[in-house]
Amino acid sequence: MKRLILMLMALVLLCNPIVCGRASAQSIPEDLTDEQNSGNAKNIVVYFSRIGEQYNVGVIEKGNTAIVAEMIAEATGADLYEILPADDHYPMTYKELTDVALQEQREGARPAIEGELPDLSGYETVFVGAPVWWGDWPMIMYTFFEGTPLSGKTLVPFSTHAGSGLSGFDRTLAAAYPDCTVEKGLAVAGTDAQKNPDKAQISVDKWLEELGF
Amino acid sequence: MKAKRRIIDAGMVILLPALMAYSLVGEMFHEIAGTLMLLLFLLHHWMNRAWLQNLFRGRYTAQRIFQTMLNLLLLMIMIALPLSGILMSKHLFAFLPTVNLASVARAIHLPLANWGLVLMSLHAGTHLGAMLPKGRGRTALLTVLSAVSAYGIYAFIKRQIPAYMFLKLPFVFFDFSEPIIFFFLDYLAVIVLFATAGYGMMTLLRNNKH
Repeated sequence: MKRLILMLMALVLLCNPIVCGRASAQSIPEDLTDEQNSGNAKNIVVYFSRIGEQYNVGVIEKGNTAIVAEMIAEATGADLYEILPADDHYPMTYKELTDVALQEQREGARPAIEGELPDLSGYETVFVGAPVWWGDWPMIMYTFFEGTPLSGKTLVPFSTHAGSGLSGFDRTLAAAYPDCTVEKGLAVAGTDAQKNPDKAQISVDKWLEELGF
Repeated sequence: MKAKRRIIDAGMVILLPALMAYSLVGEMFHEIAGTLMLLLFLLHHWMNRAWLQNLFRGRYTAQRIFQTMLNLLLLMIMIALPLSGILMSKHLFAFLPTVNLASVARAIHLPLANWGLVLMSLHAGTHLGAMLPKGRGRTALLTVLSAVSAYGIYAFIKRQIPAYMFLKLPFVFFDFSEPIIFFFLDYLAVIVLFATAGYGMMTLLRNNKH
């Protein structure tokens, strides 16, 4: 009896992921723009972002959300996946973009995403971020939510905004994924991400620390 | 007749905090409540059409000047608010081809909604005198209203209403994790603040012949 117990204990110890599983140390991806699963990362940052003329930042060459997404990925060693529209009809001027965004919202549009949706089954935590468009996720995010069923994962929303904050992203994400846990989200002012990145970085770091990353 | 008027007025007062809550109570509800508010406003105006008819008649005391200016401002706001709301509607009026006017509509709707909150409350206050009890009841009630108003000043600033009024904040912020009762209580306090201020203004201007 004692030997049986000892054997079982040995088995349990041997199967402990620290001993025989993959390394749990965060790996820093070599190429942040690599959309494929880079092998070791337990987490991934999925995001949608726009360049061109945006609110109060002029014409930008890197999206506000992209900046924050990359900050999160670098701090956590997560993979990055950028949601790109299959048909990039989004205007490069701010007002016209807001018009298109509202029209999509009115229609309940589901703009197609370019390429195949990523296989997220290997990830534990999925960060999901986007700009706030008319108080909600851009409609393409709903294409992503509806096309990417997830369960048992931890989801963490983040937004870039011009005053409306997280805008209920955590609620809508939870509604899209009732079988996942949604953690506290982060809202970063677009102008901060773009023009005051140090301030944004501090917010990101503090938030990740609170979440336990 | 008077009771009907009071019911319509009460309806508008109840709708106001609900409207200010916008996405906290749901955008569809906001559009329905806004449409209802417009209807109540039209009814209110109809029932008080004598005001408009007598606009150029009679003597203008200081009180009447204040009330009339307030009402004219409110009239403009109560046209601009539903109009701008309809232009950017996502539900009830989304069938209208108005998308390209929506961003201008938003820039109008947000500040005017907050100006409307303040001015509607002031307006209600200017008519409060007739509705308050006399004597000690009046003093007691005014004491309570003043206490609530003091909190209302705090709520007014905390909710950043001046920032919305003066276009410092272009997009409205809501904390979805806050129990909504606190939102309503704060906005009710703001309504009481400006209603009491309106009543106070009328008292100050009393017997002041133009």
